[in-house]
Amino acid sequence: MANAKAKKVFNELIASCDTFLFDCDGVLWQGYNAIPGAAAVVNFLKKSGKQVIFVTNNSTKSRDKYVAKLSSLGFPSERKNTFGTAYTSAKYLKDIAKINGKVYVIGNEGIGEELDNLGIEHLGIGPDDTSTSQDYDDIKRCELQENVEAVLVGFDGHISFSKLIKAGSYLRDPNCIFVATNDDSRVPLGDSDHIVPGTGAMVKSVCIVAGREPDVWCGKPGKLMFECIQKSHDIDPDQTVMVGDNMKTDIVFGKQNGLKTLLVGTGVATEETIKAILQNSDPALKEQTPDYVLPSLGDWADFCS
Amino acid sequence: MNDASSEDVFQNLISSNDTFLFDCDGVLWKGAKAVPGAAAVVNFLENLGKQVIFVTNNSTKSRDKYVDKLSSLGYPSDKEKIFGTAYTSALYLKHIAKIDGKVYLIGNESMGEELDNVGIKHFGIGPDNVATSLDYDDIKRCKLDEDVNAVLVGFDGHISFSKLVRAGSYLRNPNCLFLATNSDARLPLGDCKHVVPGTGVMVASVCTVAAREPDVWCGKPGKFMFECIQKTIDINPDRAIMIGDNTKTDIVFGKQNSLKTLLVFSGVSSRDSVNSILESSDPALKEQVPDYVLPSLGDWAEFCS
Repeated sequence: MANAKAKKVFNELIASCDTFLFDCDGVLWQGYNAIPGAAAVVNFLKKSGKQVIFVTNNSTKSRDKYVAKLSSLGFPSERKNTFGTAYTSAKYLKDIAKINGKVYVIGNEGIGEELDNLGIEHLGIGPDDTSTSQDYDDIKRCELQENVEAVLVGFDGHISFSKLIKAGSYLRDPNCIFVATNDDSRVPLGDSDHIVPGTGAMVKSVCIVAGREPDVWCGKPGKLMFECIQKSHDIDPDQTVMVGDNMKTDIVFGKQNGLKTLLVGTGVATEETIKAILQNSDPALKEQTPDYVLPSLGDWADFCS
Repeated sequence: MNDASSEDVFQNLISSNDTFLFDCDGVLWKGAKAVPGAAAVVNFLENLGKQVIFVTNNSTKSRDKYVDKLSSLGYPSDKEKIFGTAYTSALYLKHIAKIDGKVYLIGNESMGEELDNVGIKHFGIGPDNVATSLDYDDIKRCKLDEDVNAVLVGFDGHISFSKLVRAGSYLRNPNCLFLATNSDARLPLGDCKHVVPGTGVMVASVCTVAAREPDVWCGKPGKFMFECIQKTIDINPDRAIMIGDNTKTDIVFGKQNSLKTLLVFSGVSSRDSVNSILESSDPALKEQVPDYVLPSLGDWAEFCS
């Protein structure tokens, strides 16, 4: 494992990689604040002719809204270079599962937008407090629709008991596909007293009531998300590096897909994490051990002029 | 594993047991309907001078409300004979944890009632939709209280994202106790096309965001609930039998506390599920094998005159 803070290592990566895949939360920004210097690095790579692609587990924005966020924080982009799990799950349902019927969504407007873009009929987004007790008359008020071919679970700030009843009931049918965006248990929000549940908390609740695990994961780690990117981009895995802040998602994703991997310490992984793994990498965690580490993407800004 | 359908076995159990512990949901009733014949059996046992105790993982009723439900369905009782997890968790917090600060409660009114009965300050019951997005300004509106010594999780029909933010944030402190009533994944509601999440779903979502497992479980399986019962009721485990419908909770509870165990098929577990356990080579499943099986408690009604 190499420390990519050194100019020599930076030059090595520039010379050996045509494509740079970037996770967003904890790599390019923390909450609403761009990581200092990160935008200069990303823009330098684009000017040098590198393919720059953004790959995020966050399901709360459509590609269009991601382009808007990226631009506002100094990372001009276009929708074809932006892959979030709202998009990849809609693509999965359309192109691979070839859904004809409806999708029950435990999710958010971003997911709804991507499903609408592909003409997939969906229900369930938004608040749902139809039933709030164990009273059977109360529970019966959760009407179950016909022709629900899949249940899709992503980030849902309106997760509720009623939604779990519906998801559990639809998934009783083994032919109903259980699709999940990602498993992140928390969303890192920078300095904060608050611990914020990630999609993993919503997915876990559905797994327990349904007595099933997801049939498909549309984010990192996994191959589906990378295959989605490869459909529209010419990528040579040998000449590609995945840059992320989360060993369990970004680094495993990179390794599963034959990419080089670089871990930054500005998100889930911190500067302490970087120091610790430089000194001692646990062989049991091989699939999570990055090829390169870097305290912050902004550390490369000095080399980018 | 013996079939308890015959009168011989029934008489044998009568003569060898002084105490009969009954689970309620799926044994005495399904939803709001008494299991036919079951009340005649329970009343017969009481008339014979047997100690009849009701032991339920359901946290949605205080002991007083359980007395009401039991009476209305044909099982007259008094609060001293009823043990639900709303009661046992309040006892734990009062007498064992000896909480003097506040309890953040993901639960229901009855849990609140039992905590009030022992003078423990609590907050959190009811709807909470203060934050419904990943927007940090939204999340900050979940103001965190200073003096929270424990987080207690039971059945909550108002489970929400905001509640998970709060629970995860309080449980960041390793000295904050994490207490859960039970881990039942679903509620059996009789003939019903709806699959209904049990407390296990609420607990799992808190475990995921808090990255911790509960420090204490106040229901079945476990020893604490039985110890609670033994504090006020004289029981000889050699002459006591636990009757339930769920191998993972009732039967394991019985075995852990050295009681005889009888499984009825009128609720969660079926004959098929028990056969799978018997045929399995997994040694961990052995603790779920009951001593006796019976299709329904009401099958004994013909012997009770």
